[in-house]
Amino acid sequence: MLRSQKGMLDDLFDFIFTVVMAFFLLFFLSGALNSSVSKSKDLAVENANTFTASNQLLQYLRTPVRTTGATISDLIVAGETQEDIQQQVTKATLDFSQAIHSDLFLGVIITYPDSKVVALPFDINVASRYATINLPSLTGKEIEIAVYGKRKRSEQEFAQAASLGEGAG
Amino acid sequence: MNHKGAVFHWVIFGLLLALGTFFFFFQIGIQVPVKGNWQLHFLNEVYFKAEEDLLRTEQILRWAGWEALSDVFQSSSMTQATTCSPVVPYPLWNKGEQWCLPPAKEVFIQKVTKLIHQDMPQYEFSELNLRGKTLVVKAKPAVLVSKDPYFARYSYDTSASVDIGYDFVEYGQITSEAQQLVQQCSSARDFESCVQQFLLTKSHWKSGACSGEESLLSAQPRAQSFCVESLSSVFGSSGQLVPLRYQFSLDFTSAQPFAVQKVAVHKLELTNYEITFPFEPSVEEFTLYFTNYNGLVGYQGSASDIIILSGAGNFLDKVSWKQEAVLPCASQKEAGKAYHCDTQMSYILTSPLLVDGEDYFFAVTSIHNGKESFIEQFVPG
Repeated sequence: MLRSQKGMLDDLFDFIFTVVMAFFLLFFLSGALNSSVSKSKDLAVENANTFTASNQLLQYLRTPVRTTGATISDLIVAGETQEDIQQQVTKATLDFSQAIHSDLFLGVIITYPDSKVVALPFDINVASRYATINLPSLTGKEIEIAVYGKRKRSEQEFAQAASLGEGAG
Repeated sequence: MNHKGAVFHWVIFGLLLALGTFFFFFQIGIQVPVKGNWQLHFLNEVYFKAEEDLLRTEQILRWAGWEALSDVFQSSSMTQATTCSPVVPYPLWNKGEQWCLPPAKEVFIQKVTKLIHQDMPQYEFSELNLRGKTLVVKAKPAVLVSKDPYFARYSYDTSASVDIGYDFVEYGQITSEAQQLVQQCSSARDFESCVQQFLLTKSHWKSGACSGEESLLSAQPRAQSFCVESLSSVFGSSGQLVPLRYQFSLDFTSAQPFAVQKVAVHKLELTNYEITFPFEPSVEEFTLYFTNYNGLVGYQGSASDIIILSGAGNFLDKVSWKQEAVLPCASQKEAGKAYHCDTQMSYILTSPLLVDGEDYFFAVTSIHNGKESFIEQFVPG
């Protein structure tokens, strides 16, 4: 009877040791796995956001305006030579951004062959460029329309790292 | 207590501790691939590119449509398209009663086709049409292939339909207004005043060229140019918003002789009346209508359209005489004869239908090339 009791205590220590080992093993593995999954998820969300922003940009450019048959993209093209039309573009862009109310549509910059117009003003320090579309201009060149949204996580981390580096330096 | 096996436990524990320390300090995680990479690559790099291409196509189509529209109603191509008169600076829509309206829609389609070939030489389309306000193009499908980093092949339809904000129904309305104007004013001797009266009722019509030049055309004395402003505005080739304008000219040459105006009636003795009106040498024959029906006062139009109910005691009678039968002016005029006195024609009317003391009404028409003029008005005697 006593012999058997001695053996039980030995087994109990082995059991406790196994449990502690398994706990630590799972703890380290889950830590490593969690950080990888989180990064992968962020990247996937960023990619999905890029597509959403691209879609919103297409929707924005195809939005009809008061002029019969015209869309915002037509106003943008006409705005290359007509400054009064640029004001209409700004107004239409503001209306659109208020209508969709998306943090992926915070700013719009139109780059003409000879000038640049901010159709929707925003803070460039807290925004990232998500999508661009080129349209043919009346002068046979290209007009670039870029849409800006909330700062991307990857750019945010890069900016933080850069500021930390500067601080350390 | 037995400590023989403890060393194995400590070895495993040490390995685990080392593993944990390594992961913690070197921040090395297990590589988990990003989910949906291929799909997002396809959407961002292939599908979005195709949508961007379609947007560009639509944009070019719309601008080609507007450029063609702003040009089509004023261009020389419309002058060439009309068969009436290629010499008049603006397309002549009619020649008397013959209408030769330019096929504006066909000219428009030709222009758009030319512009598309010019702006998108690689765009292969088989059909181009305007349905209502929508410009419809049927084109071949395009294929986008992406190989890096993932393979994707996307085929999409490049046919497009864009709203150009203009319907050729408006052109039809303008031409019908033009026909109404010609019908109304070509029979008037002073067609210019008639046109001015018409313009007062149509605010979008203006006489003269859209550029502000003179309205009358020297080559044709009874032709006038017009500029009609559309309700639609389009973007011009330089980006400015311009209203559409129809530039054309109309011929008011009358197919029938002019209505005889300024008819005066003078009662002679008993039932004889002297009817005078301006002499017109080009007219072949004159007809004098007389009636006792006062309902015809104010009537304007064709004599053949008048219906009189004789049962009520009313009558409408007429006498005609040819130009050759007109006599030179004489101091003593015979009943039933016409005389030419200076610039006036004079006819002495007598008829058994006329009774002394009754009221009668008179109108004169002229006949040329077998066509009778309208009645301008019935004048009381």
